[in-house]
Amino acid sequence: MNKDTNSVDDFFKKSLQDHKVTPSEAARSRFLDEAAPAATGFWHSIFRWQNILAAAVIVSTPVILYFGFFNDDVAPAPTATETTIPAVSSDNSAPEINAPKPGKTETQSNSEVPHPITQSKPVNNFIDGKKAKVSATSEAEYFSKKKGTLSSPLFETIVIAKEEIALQKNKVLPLAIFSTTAGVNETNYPDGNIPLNIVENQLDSTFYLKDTSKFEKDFTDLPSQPDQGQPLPQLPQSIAPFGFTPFLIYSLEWNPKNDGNSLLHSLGLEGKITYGRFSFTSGIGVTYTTAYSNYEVGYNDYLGSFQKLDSITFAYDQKRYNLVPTYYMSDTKVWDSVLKLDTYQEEVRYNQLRIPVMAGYDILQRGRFVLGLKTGVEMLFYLKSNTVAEYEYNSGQNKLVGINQLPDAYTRNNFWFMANISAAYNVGKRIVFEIEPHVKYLLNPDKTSASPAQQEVIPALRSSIKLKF
Amino acid sequence: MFSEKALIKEVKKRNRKALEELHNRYAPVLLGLSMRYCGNHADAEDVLHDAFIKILSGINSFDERPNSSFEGWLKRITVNTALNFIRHKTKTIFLVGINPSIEDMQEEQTADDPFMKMGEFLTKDIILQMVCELPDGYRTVFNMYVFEEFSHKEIASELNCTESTSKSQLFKARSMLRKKILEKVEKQMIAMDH
Repeated sequence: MNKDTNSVDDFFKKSLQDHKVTPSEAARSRFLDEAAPAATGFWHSIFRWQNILAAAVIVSTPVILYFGFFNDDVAPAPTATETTIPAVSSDNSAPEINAPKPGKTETQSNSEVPHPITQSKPVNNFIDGKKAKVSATSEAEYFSKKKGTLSSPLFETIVIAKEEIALQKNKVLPLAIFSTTAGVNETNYPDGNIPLNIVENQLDSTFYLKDTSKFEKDFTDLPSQPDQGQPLPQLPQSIAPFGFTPFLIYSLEWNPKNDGNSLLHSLGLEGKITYGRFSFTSGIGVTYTTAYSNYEVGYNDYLGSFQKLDSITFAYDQKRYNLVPTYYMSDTKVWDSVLKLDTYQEEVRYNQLRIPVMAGYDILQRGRFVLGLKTGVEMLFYLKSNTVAEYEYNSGQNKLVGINQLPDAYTRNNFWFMANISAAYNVGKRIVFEIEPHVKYLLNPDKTSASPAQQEVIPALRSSIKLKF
Repeated sequence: MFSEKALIKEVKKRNRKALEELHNRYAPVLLGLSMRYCGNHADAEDVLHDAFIKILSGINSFDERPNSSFEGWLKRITVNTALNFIRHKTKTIFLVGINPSIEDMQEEQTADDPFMKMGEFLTKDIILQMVCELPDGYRTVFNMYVFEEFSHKEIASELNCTESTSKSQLFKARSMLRKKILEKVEKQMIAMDH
């Protein structure tokens, strides 16, 4: 509370304290258009029409592709008979097996359990790459085989799959087994023991029944068994493949619209939950990028200098007739009073905390190559920044009045909605190389005019290397 | 027409009619306040827009107890928005001043200026225009000291300058405004004589 009163202060305060100025209609409309549909909060930003449209396109595209091009819907086998899988009896006497097992010399007691796969008619069950319709069977019946009665590695693998299915990572094991057993040429392994490495290699990638068309040729020499073919049991949903894969990820993102250094490095830990073709990925990481921070300088122009008279002294001359003045001058510089502005940049290194939350769908799998779509949110939280090289502004003879650092986009928290196309290649069992072209949409732009303009929609390309644990 | 309490409640729900009512009721006062800081109508409307956006963002945190004034809260937000705008849009408020002599300042404070009373005949728009014509630094300090009743210490802290600079800026602002008023009054008196 100021205590000194002044007539000028009182006059202006009294006149202008509640003075009203009518805003223009444009200002009113601008506010209402922005305020009425706009809402605060993260969830309101999510449910804007642009986001909903993008999400609808991303979700419907794989559905259309799936039903249009990759339709492996069940079609009834023309000659397969729908029968229930017979319950496995405790009696291990071998049933009559018509399918030849060339070179197999083991007694039937070891491999006599009527396994529906070996007794099935693969030709009829795989017609034109489409899975034959099979009747449902109980999980208990199908997996009631005891481990000790099955000596073949294939059978062991099946039993292990049931017990260890929760431990299998990223493998659609039961389906893979169907195609694997359908695809392995048993003539090469007369003892019936197929080396595990071959099985493993074929299990390395996820197989789907539609991929078994190439394996049908192996069964063309088998006699047809119209009456003895057992349709493949339908995989019960209760053992549908849930998988969890943690991995270390390093990614490099290139943003063509970024004027500064356009590369964003990221290192983090992520976890991927898979359910069939669907996946959910989240994690945490740290990003690193270099960009330019802008500074504004205020200065006064140097106008020149003049000799300023400081003082004069008077003294009599030698004859003591006249007073002689002596002038004392000093060089004084003059600057303009008008404030002028200049800018300069400094390169700054920024670190941000990155938390992605992405949902994905694999639309295509060919061996080690997987093509999919992803959508979700990427949250970037500002951590710190360091100046790479300090820049000392040289104002010359101008008078430096002050320097202000302008705010930039990396020093705030940014939430992006992302739509990605993901192309991944499994280099090995543990290493995945992935390329993701994507579009990002900024969910929380700063609309106030004091802040710098921020790009709201950014196309970018990310490549990453993942190391599975 | 909403009561103040109902208006706040409906604005929180983003009711379009309530938003219109809010703008119609308070925008003129806040725009007048913005113009005193910005000096021109266009910048003042930008500040007004930013201030309303911040008001909507922070409306949930407004304390609706009987002693709290909604209009006062709106004005505080607008003043802060205006100061931020001045810092960024004009990029700097660099206040460089000389120290007026203490005698001059004291003489200014105690003088009873009869022309001030005659200035009451001037319209408010003209008076506002005088404030807008002040240089940025003078105008900012004048507004903060006279209307928002900041102390020189608070002004110095807010604008990153010294107290003596704040005092000298205020002194110069008053001098300029007094001179403008005298000129206007003289013109009016001449006009009245004719």
